[in-house]
Amino acid sequence: MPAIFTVDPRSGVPIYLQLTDQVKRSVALGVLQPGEQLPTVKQLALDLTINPNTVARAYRDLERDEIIETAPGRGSFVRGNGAAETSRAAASHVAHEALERAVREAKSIGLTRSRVRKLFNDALERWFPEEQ
Amino acid sequence: MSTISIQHLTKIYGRSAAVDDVCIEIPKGSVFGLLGPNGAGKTTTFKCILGLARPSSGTTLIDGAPLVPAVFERLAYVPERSVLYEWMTAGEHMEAQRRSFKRYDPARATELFALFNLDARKRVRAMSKGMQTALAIVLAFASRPEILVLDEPTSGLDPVNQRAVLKLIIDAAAQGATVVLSSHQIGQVERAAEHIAILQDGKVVLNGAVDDLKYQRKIVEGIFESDAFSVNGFERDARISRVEKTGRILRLTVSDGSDGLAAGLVSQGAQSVRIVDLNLEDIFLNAVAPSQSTADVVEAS
Amino acid sequence: MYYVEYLRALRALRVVAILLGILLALVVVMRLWLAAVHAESPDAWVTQMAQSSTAVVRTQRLSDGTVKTTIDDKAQRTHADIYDRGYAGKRLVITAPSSQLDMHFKHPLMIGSLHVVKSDANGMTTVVVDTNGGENIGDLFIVSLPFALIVATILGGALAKENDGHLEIAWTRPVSRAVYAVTAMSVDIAALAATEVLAVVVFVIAQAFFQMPRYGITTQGFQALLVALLVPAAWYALVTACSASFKRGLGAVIGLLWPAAILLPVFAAVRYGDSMTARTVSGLLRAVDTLNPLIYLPGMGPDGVTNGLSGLGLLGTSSLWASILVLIALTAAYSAAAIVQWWGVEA
Repeated sequence: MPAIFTVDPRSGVPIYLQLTDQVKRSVALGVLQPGEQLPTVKQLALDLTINPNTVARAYRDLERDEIIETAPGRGSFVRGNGAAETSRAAASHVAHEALERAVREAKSIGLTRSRVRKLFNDALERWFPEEQ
Repeated sequence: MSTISIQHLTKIYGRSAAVDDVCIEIPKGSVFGLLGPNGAGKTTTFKCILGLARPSSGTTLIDGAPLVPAVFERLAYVPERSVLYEWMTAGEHMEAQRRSFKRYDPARATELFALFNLDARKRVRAMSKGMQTALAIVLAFASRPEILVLDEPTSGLDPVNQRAVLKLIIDAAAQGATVVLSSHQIGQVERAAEHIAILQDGKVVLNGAVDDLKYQRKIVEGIFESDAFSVNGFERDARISRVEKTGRILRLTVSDGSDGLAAGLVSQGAQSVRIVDLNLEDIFLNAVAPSQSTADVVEAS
Repeated sequence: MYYVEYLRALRALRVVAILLGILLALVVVMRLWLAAVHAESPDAWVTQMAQSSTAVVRTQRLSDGTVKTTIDDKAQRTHADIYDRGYAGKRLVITAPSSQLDMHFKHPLMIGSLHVVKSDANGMTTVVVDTNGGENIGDLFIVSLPFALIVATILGGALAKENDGHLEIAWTRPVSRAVYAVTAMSVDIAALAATEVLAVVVFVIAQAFFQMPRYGITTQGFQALLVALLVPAAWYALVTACSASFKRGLGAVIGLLWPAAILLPVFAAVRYGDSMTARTVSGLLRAVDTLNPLIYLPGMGPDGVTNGLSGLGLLGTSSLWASILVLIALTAAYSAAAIVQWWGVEA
């Protein structure tokens, strides 16, 4: 398994959140395919040199969010059942967070509501031109 | 059940308390970081847990029971300073360990020896500080202990060996061992530990899960139209540990509820509000810097 | 858990082995030098007589158990009767032409317990050699005692050595403090006994280069052996007890104990006068001196002859059994004092 995850322990974001966001993102982008096996808790902990319980917590949250499933003794897998919905849910979660952050940032630097709306529309046009 | 339970531990040397009414629970299978400035009482706490020093009051329990010598069959301690015998070789230390501990695993020891490039024939006297630390680590991990008490386990080690020690800790934790470690390298603790306690002047000033602390502890920064805004009420808010006003900028160091406080600043007329994440080092410095119990209002010009 | 102490003891024994090695080398040099001046032992000469082709050797057992060997050599005009009385000694009566005997007995080798009487008549000389019986193994142990005292001083203060920066290792092994202390001290005391055995073996080898005595042991010799084993043990326990509470300063403790133990019997033996004060001081010194393991050695009492107990007049007898019992008690008491302090120490 290539090291598709990285964490920054120095960041103020809890490590388990960094990890769940990255898994969700990978699933949304199709980097992790439905049914694909994730590294074991111990392996990922050693690869990233982070506490194994932190990895376990991230996996538990992902399981609760129905993004992965764990077969006792076999490991954790990206859910195969309804993979599309799972991906979309995961994607929309990540996108939601990013959008929220962007808008908050725009307000912080003093942009007006109409200016923000203009930026948002520009971005929409660039990424969704066919829906014009 | 907690693997290590420290209840109202106080240790007085002379007239001053090195450890003052400390209560810490270290859950089974966790990696617990004990942080604090020099002289905060970390080493004394360890010595009391291990029966090397007698508490002036309070109790320490291991697996719910007072310490008995048999516990050391499955507990390893790496002290802060080298306590190896200068006149003995690394190999002789290993042999002493083999004869003392039933769980001692010679294959594991050989593996660890190679990992740190140690020479069995070398006397401790002739070793560098880093090699002595490495030998102490090897001695501790060779018997595959269930409980590890590590006081500055990476001091004097180069970054490569520091990372190797960190991996050993994580590997042990992954196999269910309980690890308590102290370190001035906050980055290591941040990676390896789930729970931390911060000691200052013998008292616990902060205690909790690293992720929760990071999740809750933020700086909420608001920028107002003019510098004529009121900071009244903030110093009475238990969630706010520090209020800093610099001209039009207000910075609140909060232990919880950052979103609500940010919204509150907006309703008070703040033009812009930002929530800043804190890493463990920031949290540590915030915890040990001001020791006042009420919020600290700093007015800078 | 005893391994560290075992290594310490081995290192101390290595020092003893080097000292004894030097001693043995000196003995060999001396033997070679004596051989160079033609000195030889009567035994060796008699053996040589018996090996002559013209010698007739007869052996018979007398009624008292003595084995009598007669060597008769008409050609050489020599005759020897050897009365071997076992542990009670051996007598050689050798008659030979004066010229021959003079050559051999000009420098008779007097090392070992020998008694020689020579008489001349008609160009013939008769020599009577008595070897005064067996040598007591117990005496050899007394002679080996200085080595054991050296080792006791090197190993003494075993607990203080742990206290000087190693408690974190010593106390995180799965044994209680008391078991640790008892084990460590037992290893050291065993090393003291090993030192004496080693020294005795070297003494026997050294004697074998000269006149090999018949070794045996009497009750008194056995008592001497026990005293020889117990005095270093008690001394070791004393050093350990006096230093058990210290982190450093073991050297100072040893530096004070030695002169104190040597000078105390001297001051205790002095008569300070007949005044009440003088007698009190004297009594006090004698009482304190009973705690000194060194006075229980034969000849170390205040009277300079017997051992401490009788010399102090505490017991009406010079019985070594009493000394042995006191030494055991002192060793046990000092060890207990050391362990009690060890219990109270903190890292």
